[in-house]
Amino acid sequence: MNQIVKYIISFFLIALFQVLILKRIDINFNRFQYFHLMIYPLFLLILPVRTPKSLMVVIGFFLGLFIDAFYDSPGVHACAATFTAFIRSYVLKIVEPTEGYNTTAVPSIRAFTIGGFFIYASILLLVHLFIYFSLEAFSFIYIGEILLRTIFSFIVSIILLMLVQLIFSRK
Amino acid sequence: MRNLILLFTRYGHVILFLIFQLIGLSLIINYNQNQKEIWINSVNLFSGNINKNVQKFTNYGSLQEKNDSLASENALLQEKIINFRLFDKSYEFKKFENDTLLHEYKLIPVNVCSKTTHLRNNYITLCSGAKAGLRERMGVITDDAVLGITTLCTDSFCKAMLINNSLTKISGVVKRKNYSGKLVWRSFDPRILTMTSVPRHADIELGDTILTSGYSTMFPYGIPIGIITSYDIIQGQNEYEIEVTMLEDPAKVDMAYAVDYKLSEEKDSVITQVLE
Repeated sequence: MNQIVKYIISFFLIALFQVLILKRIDINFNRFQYFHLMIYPLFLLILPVRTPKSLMVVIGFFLGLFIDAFYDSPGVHACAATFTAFIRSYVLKIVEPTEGYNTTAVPSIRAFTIGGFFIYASILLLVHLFIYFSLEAFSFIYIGEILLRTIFSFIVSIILLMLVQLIFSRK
Repeated sequence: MRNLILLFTRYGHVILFLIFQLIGLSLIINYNQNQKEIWINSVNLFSGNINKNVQKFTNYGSLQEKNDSLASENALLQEKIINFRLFDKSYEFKKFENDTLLHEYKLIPVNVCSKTTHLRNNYITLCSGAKAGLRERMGVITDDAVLGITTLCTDSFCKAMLINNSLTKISGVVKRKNYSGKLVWRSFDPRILTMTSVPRHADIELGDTILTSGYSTMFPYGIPIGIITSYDIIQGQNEYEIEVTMLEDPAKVDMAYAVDYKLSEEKDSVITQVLE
């Protein structure tokens, strides 16, 4: 029970941090507009390893919808977040330690070591950003633009994401 | 049944994922302007290309028939021109023929790629688009009838709403009597239109021809629409409700002309200003 309340609070903390603060931060130089800070997938990353896969998909969709409400882009974040939530279980298999996860494992820097968590977060964040920017452009004519946005946004976002994770995994 | 439950427990997350992805995509397409336009254009291009290829094959069958009708149409036009030349003693017509600046209307020949005629809102797809000079809100006519109005044009395709579309409104006049009215399609018969707004005192008869009025920018004056087959005065109202039978069955059409009116922008701007 306690756990669920904790996750509900972190859902709102992360989502509101994204839509109220990160959305307003503009680190673009006049014509170079490829930086977008996106860390809300962090919430999907830190859910327990044994979360039912169906529940993951549902959470992803509603997290995305919540973000969409503030970004005025109905469906775009929802689609991307659903996808990220869906592939999380497969990415978890990739970074699974040889002895397997124990039943209460929660993805974090403490549990995964900093390198392991970095790889895990990078894969999911890259996929998420790529899907998001593809859906935003909605046409692969803009593939160059999509890739540039994905890469530059990934660099700034992953740094921030790791910092947030470091700060909160201390206690 | 057991297998079905098993399927859900094993692949429930995949099914859920697909469902949510579909919901998300439909949200994107319906509520985001950019994505909506890209989607509509791509679908239009995709279906247009398929229909174009199908049409290519089906066209071969009716080639001979079409050839004949074109030849007879040409003969008719030629006949008219020759007779008019002879009739016109002051060489006004010759002057007009030679001065292309006087030609306000231009016809762009278009092939029909696909069409629906059995729905409530029917559309046709034309195999030419912006490259051939087509725009939105252009009239589409055949040799002797009105067909529809273009609504959406991409580079090489154009969508037009047929006259058999509950959204289409065309203004028409009664030939030689010049009472004007509004033509809409309300019946279920694709060939029968309803004309309203003709005042009660108008003197109309069965068999009168209805022509386009030329009030809008889409159709020139005098294109035949149909003939009056019955009329009635709606009780308590001051106008006729006239049933107009179209001359041409839109289901049979596969060649048409788009009407390019040179002064359309100018006229449109005046009309909209008056309305405001």
